[in-house]
Amino acid sequence: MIIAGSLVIICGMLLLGVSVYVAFGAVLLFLAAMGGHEVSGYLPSGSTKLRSLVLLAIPLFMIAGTIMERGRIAAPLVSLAELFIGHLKGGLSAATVLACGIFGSISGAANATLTCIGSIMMPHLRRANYPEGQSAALIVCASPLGLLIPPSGNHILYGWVAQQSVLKCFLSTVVPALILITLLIVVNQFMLRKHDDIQLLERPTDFRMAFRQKATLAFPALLMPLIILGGIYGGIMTPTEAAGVAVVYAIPVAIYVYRGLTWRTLVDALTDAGVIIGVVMVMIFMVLIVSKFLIFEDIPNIAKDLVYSVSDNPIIILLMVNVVMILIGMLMDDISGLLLSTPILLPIVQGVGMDPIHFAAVLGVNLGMANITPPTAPLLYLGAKITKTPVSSMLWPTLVFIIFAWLPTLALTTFVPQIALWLPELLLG
Amino acid sequence: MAHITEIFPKVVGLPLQGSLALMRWIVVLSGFLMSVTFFLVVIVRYGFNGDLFAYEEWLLTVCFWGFFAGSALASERGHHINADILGIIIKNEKLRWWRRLIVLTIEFLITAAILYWGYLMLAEEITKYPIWKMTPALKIPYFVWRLSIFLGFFFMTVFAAAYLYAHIRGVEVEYGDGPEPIEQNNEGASQ
Repeated sequence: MIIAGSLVIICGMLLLGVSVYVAFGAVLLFLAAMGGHEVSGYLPSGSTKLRSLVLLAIPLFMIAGTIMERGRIAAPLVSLAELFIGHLKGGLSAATVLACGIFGSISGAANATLTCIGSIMMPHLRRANYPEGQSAALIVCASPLGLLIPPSGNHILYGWVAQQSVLKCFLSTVVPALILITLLIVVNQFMLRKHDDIQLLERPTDFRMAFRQKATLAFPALLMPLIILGGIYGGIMTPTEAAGVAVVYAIPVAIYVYRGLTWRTLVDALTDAGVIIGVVMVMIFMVLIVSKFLIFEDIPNIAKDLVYSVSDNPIIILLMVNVVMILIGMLMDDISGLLLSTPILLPIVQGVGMDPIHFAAVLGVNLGMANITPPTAPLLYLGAKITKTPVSSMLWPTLVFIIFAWLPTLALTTFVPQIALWLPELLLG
Repeated sequence: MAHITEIFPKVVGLPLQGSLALMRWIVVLSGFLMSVTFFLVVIVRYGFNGDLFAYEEWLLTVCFWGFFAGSALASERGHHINADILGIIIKNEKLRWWRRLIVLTIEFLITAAILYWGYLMLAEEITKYPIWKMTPALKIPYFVWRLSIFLGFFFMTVFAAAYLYAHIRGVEVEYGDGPEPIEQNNEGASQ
């Protein structure tokens, strides 16, 4: 009754268009009515859970992402990627996918990746006669790489909720991200085969000189993932400290090197980042309260029994879990989806022998895909805004990228555990 | 198009605008402090072999104020995340009006309920005075960050009520993310 009621309320509210935090507030009202909880205990329990230094990495990466976005830090990265493959047919779009991957290693967020790379690459792709809808869809479908390539805000949350090593979680989606990059480029190349009017970039006569110039310009931006990831994996900093260092490094780079920000516009950037942080943190706050009370009502065990009553075949169970996660992701944002599904689904997959780090990868790919899967698809709509492309022209290519790039990546990540576990085991034991 | 604070009489609108300005500064300062503090933690650790004493206690308090000021600002700008599938599907103006009325009413009622829980939380805390829960090292009362939660939801309720009032009265106000801007954008792109 509680599961069904909560699901109906959440789905109904979200379909209607109510804000996510309000939808969770409605579930709390329902739980209060059904379970007879002391409502004065709701907010204190949320505030106790939210008081965590680990969680501060999320707002800090958001600030870093906003500064990089406004500070034009992505432009030299894109330019460098174009130098290598821009002269090939489909090279510019492949460079876009690579740039999303590189930028993801700096920002740790899909929105910042989409905003940054989308606004830079779309005019280039349009000028070079790349099909508009397909190009915009490719940028949208590549932007969740920001969530898969470390550092990733989602993995910090997952590691915190599931009590797992954040570093291992980070590494679990690196190979899936590489598979996804390859598949996106291959599928896009195949879709471009009939477009003969694409203009290719000229290969510079002095490649070495051009490379030196572009690499010098991109160096301060490329130093950023080195500082963040080197600091974290070198055991020098925690992810939260690395995020703080990333912000402090990004400010002078954005202001004095790339001149995308001034001290005055930095205040605007910090305000806008603060609003995004407010949106996310209030959602996390509400979901934490809801999940605490769902656990209190023994919902994870009830859900486990429910799933096992259908089948005890691991393949069927993993398929069911994936379908549930896709549905969750289609209805709500990745952070709420992650916080809600982890305590409920983790015991189920552990029951069929799945490693929690492996589940981190499955969850990461799933929620990344959910961000671009209609009807909710927040990144699809944001991508339409940024690239100034009609959603209708993006739908079909997005579907093709989901079917031929995202779903195979998800299937491989789910059913071949070594794809997720090989790198964490190799580097961290 | 009016700003949401302009639909109130000046006696309410002006203090609200002042509060918004204050919240913007809280958000900026908390973000800045958060970043600089963690940077300094690393510098102090490796440069001076020391640590910042109990920094997490005051920093988390500052962050709470920043988080909830940010969510109040998000309510002012209409930036809270929603799926809004019906808002895109429904084309009939009358139906759109009713859907938005229902959404705004639900948002107001539920945010008000959360605000009430916040009031209960604070009331319980106040009755315990002077035996307050405090952080172990710096003795910062829990009341300080719980107050930030209450005030955050207070302003969120105020803005939810304001948008509902503006919608019923047919006053056009600036509103953040909805389906309309996307569609306008698309039309612009296809022209």
